[in-house]
Amino acid sequence: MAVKSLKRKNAIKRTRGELIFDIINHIILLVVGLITLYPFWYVLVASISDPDMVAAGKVLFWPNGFNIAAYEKIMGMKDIWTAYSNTIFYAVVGTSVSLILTFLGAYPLSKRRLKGRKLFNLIMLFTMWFGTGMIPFYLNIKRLALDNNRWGIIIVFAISAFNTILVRTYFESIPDSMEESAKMDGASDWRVLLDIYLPLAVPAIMTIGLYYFVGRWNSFFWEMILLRDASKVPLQVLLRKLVVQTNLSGTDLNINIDIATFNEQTMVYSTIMVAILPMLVLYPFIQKFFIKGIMVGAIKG
Amino acid sequence: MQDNMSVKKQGIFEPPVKPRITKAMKLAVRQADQKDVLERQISDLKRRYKRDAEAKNELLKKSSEKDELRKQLVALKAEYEQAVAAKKEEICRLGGPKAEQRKLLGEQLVLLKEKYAHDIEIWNRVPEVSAQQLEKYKQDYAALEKDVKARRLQAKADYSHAVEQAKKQYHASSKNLEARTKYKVAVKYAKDKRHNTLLDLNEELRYAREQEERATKSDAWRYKKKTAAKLRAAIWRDRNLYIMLLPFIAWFIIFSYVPMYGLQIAFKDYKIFKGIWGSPWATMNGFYNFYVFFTGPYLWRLLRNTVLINIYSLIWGFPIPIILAILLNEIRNKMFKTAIQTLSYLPHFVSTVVVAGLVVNFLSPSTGLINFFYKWVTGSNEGIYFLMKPEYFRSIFIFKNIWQNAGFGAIVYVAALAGIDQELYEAARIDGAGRWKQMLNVTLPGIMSTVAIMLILRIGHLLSVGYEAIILLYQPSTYETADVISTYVYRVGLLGGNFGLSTAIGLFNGIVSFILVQSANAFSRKVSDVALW
Repeated sequence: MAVKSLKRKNAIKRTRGELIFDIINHIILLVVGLITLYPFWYVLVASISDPDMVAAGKVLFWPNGFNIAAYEKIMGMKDIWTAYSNTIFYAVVGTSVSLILTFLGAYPLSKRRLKGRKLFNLIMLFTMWFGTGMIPFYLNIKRLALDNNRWGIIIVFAISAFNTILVRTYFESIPDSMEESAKMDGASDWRVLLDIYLPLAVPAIMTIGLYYFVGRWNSFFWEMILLRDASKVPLQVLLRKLVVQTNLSGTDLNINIDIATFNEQTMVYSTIMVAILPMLVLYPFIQKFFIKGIMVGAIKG
Repeated sequence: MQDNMSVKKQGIFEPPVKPRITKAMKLAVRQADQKDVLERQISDLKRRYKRDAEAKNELLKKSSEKDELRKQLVALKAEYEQAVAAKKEEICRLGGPKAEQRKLLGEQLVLLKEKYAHDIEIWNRVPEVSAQQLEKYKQDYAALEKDVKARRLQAKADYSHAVEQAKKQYHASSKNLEARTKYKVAVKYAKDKRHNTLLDLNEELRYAREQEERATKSDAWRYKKKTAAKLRAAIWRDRNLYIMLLPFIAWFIIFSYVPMYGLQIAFKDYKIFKGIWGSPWATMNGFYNFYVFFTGPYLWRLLRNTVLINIYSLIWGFPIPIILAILLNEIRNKMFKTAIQTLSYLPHFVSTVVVAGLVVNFLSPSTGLINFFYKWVTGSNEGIYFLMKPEYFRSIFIFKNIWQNAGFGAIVYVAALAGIDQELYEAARIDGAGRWKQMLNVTLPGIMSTVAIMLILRIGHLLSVGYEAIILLYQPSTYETADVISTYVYRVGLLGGNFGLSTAIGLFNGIVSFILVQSANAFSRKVSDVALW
């Protein structure tokens, strides 16, 4: 009681220095929030403003001359929709394959009684420490005929050792008595995994699934190298052409001319908006799962 | 000692020998079986022939067409004899034992197998006794050794006693020839006796030692066998787990370990049409590619850029998440805190390409946002083409990384801050510490271990840069400050097609990174008791 009353007293009584600190602190964090948000806000504002106003720098904080012609143009571009559907394919199918392989691998690895567990763990961990480099990796994929191949992308990037460790740690936290009692009733290892461990691991499935999903959604490097057909590339690879290369030297001329006929900047910002919109809309709902994952990883990562 | 002899005969310390059922034996059994079948077929033929012949004879008595029937009878007999001859020939060709022998052989085999099964069962039943028996053998051997020593002494004493006795007799009697002979005989007899006794004793000792050695050996053998059996049982019990693991491990082998075979390209003069294996080894004992890299014009530039980008990232990028976390921790309004925090890690989930797109477009000299502000502030008409100028590249890259990742990086520290015991703050408050003092003396020490781990982790990754973003942002005019090892590997190998050089640089990078990461982990384990894996 004494402590409680003391605490309340202290909470009320703030020194002037503390008050100033609090105000400054709020201002700093507000600025941090604005710096984070402003680029997105500007992209949104610029994408719906008059292209000439944007080019002249007369749009900074608020839309100027409402104009959504750029969006209309993007809606009509077949490339973007192909790339979009490709990305959805890679993300959805890839995440499913990744989840299946990761959970099938993490479950046995979480069992201390498994003979050879150390070796299997080492096989996985070693890949986190030592990379073979781009060329041997690339040649290996080529030899397996998995380049320029949708399923190649799905399979080659299916497992992340880091995510597997997160799942393994999660499984290790589930008490062994769960498994033992099921085994007494005659359940096989498959039954135990499917009927007992997976239902308990739903939060982990969500978190790891989202990690994989976002990873697939955002990855572009190997897709850019491995996929040669325009019909197979995901959105990020196309975005690189439309958004990044137009302003750098060594640009793809065809795309450049295509966009130059319209006003470049509005077009670029609208494209960015279209690309990140699903993420922005879903973000408030899914962000808490990411944070959970970080916490799981904080135990051992 | 009698016990030892009997044990020797039993030979329980020898594992039963599995009977050798040779191919020849199996063949013999098979041959005999076939013969059996053939002989049965012959007797079958005989019976059929008899039946047919009898039927014909019956007809012969009644019928008038005797000649015809007789002819048929003769044909029947000839046919029968031919068939039997064929079968017999086959029997001869088969060779080997006869049917009766086969039966014996088979029985022998079964007996052998049964005996072995019986022996092995007894052999397996012994283990609990084994340790005791081993102990007993050791004790027996020690006792025997003692005994033998005593008896050796005894034998020697016996000998000297006999000689003494003979001497006395010799002295006592006259010095005649008979007495001398007697004495000599007695001495020789005593000598022989001593010699024989000693030999016997040696033999006994040797045998006991052998027995003990064998017991020890067989115990070790049995132990090994038991552990192997246990391991097999454990693997069989967890077979489903291994099946689950199979695709997982196969994936790592195919996509992470098989490429290691391609690392030999680093030491080769790689030709696309000859493949990895067929390409000739590079000159300079295979180290030509390394020579090119280490003496090439870019070595210094690449190392400098890689390390500098990392060090600048460390200096600017490392403290910011910590500061952010501490500032967030000081906020009491929960709504405001959550809102800012959630906002701060939003950029982390935006793709590298989009962020690079933002950077490129905001920095555009004519229509870029940053240049609008620049022109507005300085009043100049010309914007700066930031991405063309090497002096700006590192700052741009590091600022981009901070903007994208600082919020996300702060999560770990926010979690660590939440884990600090609130009573520590209360205690500090009672002692009269203000907010600033609390922060210095409670908050900072509370997250120090987390900070240390994160720092070590960062240092372990000194040679790895987020090269994807660099590839998106750099251009030839900024290579001077932007080109790092990974981007060079990409440009030389995947764009330039010089696979040998690219692999060599990649290998160098991989090995140095491996050493750094391992050292960082070892250091972390030593300092903080927290290994990262």
